Amino acid sequence: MQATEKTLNEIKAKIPYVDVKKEKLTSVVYVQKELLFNVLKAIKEDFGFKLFIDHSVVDTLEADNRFEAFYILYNVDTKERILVKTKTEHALPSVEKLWFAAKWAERECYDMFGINYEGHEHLVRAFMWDTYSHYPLRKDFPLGGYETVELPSLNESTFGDNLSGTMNYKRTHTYVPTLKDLEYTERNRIKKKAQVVLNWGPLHPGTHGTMWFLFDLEGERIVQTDVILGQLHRGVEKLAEHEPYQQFLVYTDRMDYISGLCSNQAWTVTVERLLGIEDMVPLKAKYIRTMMSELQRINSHLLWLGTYALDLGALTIFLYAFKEREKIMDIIEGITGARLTISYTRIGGVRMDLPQGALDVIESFVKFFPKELKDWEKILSRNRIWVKRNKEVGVLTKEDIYFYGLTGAVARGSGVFYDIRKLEPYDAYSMVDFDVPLGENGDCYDRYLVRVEEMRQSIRIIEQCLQKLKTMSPNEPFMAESGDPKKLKLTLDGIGLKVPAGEVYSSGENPRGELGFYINSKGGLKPYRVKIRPGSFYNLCVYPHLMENRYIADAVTVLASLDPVVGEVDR
Amino acid sequence: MSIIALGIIIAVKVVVILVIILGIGAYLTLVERKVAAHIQRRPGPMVVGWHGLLQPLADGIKLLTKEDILPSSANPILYNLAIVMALVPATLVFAVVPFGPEVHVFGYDIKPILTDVNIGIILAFAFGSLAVYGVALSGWASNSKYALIGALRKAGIIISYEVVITFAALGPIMLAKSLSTYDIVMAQIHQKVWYIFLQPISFVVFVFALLAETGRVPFDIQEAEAELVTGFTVEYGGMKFGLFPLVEWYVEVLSLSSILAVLYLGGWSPLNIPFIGFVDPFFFLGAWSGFIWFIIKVSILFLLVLWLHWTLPRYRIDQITTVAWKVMLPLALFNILISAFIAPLLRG
Amino acid sequence: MAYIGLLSLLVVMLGLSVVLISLNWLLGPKKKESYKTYPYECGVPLYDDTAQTTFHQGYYILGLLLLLFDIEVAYLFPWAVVYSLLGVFGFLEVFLFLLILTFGLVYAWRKGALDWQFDLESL
Repeated sequence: MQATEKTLNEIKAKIPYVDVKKEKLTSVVYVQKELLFNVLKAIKEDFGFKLFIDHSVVDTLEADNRFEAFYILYNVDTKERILVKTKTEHALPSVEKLWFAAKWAERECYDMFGINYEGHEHLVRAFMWDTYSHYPLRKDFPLGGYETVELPSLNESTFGDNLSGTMNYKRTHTYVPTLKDLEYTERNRIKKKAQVVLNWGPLHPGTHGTMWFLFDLEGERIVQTDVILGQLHRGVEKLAEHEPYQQFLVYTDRMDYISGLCSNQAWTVTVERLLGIEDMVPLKAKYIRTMMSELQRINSHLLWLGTYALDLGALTIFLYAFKEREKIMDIIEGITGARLTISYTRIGGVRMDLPQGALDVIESFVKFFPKELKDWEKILSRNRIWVKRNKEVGVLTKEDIYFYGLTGAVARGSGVFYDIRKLEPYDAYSMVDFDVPLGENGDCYDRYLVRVEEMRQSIRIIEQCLQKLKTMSPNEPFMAESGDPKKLKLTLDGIGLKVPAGEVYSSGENPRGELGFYINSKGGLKPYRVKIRPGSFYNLCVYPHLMENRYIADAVTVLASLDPVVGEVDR
Repeated sequence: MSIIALGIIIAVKVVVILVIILGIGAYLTLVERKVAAHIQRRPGPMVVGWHGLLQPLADGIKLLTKEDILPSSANPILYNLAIVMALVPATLVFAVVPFGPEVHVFGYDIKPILTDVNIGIILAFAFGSLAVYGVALSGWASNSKYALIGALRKAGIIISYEVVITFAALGPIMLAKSLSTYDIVMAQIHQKVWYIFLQPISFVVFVFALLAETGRVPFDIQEAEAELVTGFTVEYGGMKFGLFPLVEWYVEVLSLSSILAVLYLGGWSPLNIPFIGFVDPFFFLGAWSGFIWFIIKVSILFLLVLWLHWTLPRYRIDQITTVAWKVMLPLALFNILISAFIAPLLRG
Repeated sequence: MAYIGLLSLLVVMLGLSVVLISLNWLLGPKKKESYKTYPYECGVPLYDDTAQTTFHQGYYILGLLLLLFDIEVAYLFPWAVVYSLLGVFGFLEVFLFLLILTFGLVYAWRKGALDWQFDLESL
């Protein structure tokens, strides 16, 4: 929840030169940019807002101080969230000494908005290649980009000027990076200190997607490493400014494509909170959303387990896990009609009710699955080789969690109780009973155990939702009905939904971390700025720190235990 | 024996070995895929031929008709030499493997072993040691960082386990008092005991070394796709690529399993009750039952290797070499100490 | 005389490997494309021009250790064969030899040469 009046007053008392304001959905501290670093330091150390959630910029197109930057921080002990805002024309002090996660967030803001961060150690672009000359998220950058280059396609080079029929496309395209651009980017990103620099690159079967790592190697020891992202960057945040709220839902599936329903749920809950209709959502819809989200969590963790075991050599677990995934995806397909890009939730409820027989199928799955999980644990959890590969590898302390902004199973593996489902409950999570597993040592083995135990807890939640849904009649509503359709139009297709002005930050517990949405709305059909806080992005930023002085063999283990998905990292 | 008879006998033996390497070696790929599939609860190759029996043929033809690419920065001579260096020594080990007892065919006494010399075991290990050349050369010649790292890792493992395997093999040699493979088996038959009962430590160490030398899980960081994308074979395509796993995973496993069977499991002798005698359900075949027993033993060892491959995760490279030098080698030395006390007690 | 079989197998296998390689070269397609022969580095431009640069000395140390212990075992082979005829003297003499070499192994162990890619600072 947002910080209380009491906390804000304490901050104002201690640091008199800031302005504090408690809005409807956020608690904001306004500060001038010259004093930003000290204020953030005070808020972090004296007031306990240690966990870095997000940092980004809104382009307000005002005459002076065009960019409004915000920092979202969280206090894990008192469960309070605070927003620190400042305004700038083109430069900001860098806060990477306070949080390493800010280093990556600042790279992204530099890339997207062109803001110069003073004191940043290595300010390079986050997603675009280093010779790119525009700043895409500024409001004066057109949605289609600048189409200046003639890139002949295969048809054009074959047929020359004799293109006919449907082949009448434009000849000019937006700029595409050449090999020279890539080479410049990679040389700029890391300066060689040791023997060779290895590209553990985008086209590799082990990197869970198109992530580009650079390893500076001394024999097999990694001396330094860095990550080049952006191979899967699709400009989702720019697209969000041109889409009505309901239509943006389909983009949320495609970010974390393995757990689409959880992302859908997070976006829907955010918009519902901004509208203020959280209580209007019918109980049936809440239970259905919770149940489907937990099924999706098991699905995602099964994929994680399968690929983790595959990367470490236990090839059989991969196939066992995928067999169970097939069962879940069949269930999801029967209910929602899609396996991967689901878009099942709607603002106000769900798309359609559960079909007949769905509850029985889910019940039989829930009965059968824990036994399977126990069988696999016999192969892995006490296996000497597995333990030797995972214990003492990639150890993260509690301070690391706060410093790198880690969330999800990574944070819980180190013993930090950070689960959005318990701290800021949404949907039916406050009405079901479940435990949150916490690890002790923060190494890869603990993260593995935490995720396996989370699967069991998900089964528990699904069982309780099943019990509740069985008692509800099929005629109960699954979509909220608006009292006054002229002021608030809630339909299944969402056309004409106007959202009042305001801003909100709300997050959901994705299997990979905390997926948060910051919406800045100026009223109307489309949002003004949407910032997506991806769990995988900040989980990945600890990778260079973990890989220092380790062997390449650990690169796979550590990466798999952090569990990134490139769609979410790159958006 | 006349020259012609000698020539025919040698030719037949060479052909048998070739059939083993190419024919059985290729069909072992199908066996592996089927066993792996059934462990993973799926049927495996079923389409090509009845239950996939023509699959190795299809794979072979596919590999032969793929494009032969030479990387632009590779050394062509070393690049091609590496394959020859990998294939030839691994198959030469079969020259000293005794497949069965002496048989009488067409009036000649033939020992089913291509080279019956009194230093058979040394030859076997010598050829095994040459295996490291194929690996190291291919990694260096490919001139790609992935190939080099993978090759150096594999070479490091092979040379570590070379030492271990030769120390472990000293145990049975002391008990048998001979270096000839044929004589070691005859010694086990005369002493009426398989050496596995007298040398369990050495057997376990040898099995570990077998898994490591041939690049099988849990020691197959070479094939760790997630890290190194097939390691030293990354720049090879077509049949050249196909020959590396054929040699590493199948031919070397077969040859080292045969040596294992010879040293510890009594070669072609039937089931053994220690110090009492042998029980042979195939007695009606006479001398030929020895061949069947040899095949049974090697098959069981191969299936054991497959079982481990598809169940266990893999070790990290530093753990593999650490285990070799710090655990296996002291165990092998300890085993020599014990054998030094047991050996004079055995007669014959 | 007994090596005729071995030599004939050697010749046959050399011929076979050459045949297989040439068969692949004959039967495969040959299409020249610009980046087909670029070294594999996950689809992006190379950072270092060539991979045949220096490499870590840890590999060399393993090679040295192999040399030592292989020669040791080469000395032990004849001893193993005639061991039963040598009596106590043979046992003691060779075990002294093995003990001295085991001290060598312990020395390498303590110095960290057996750890994979030791740090220079630990020497």
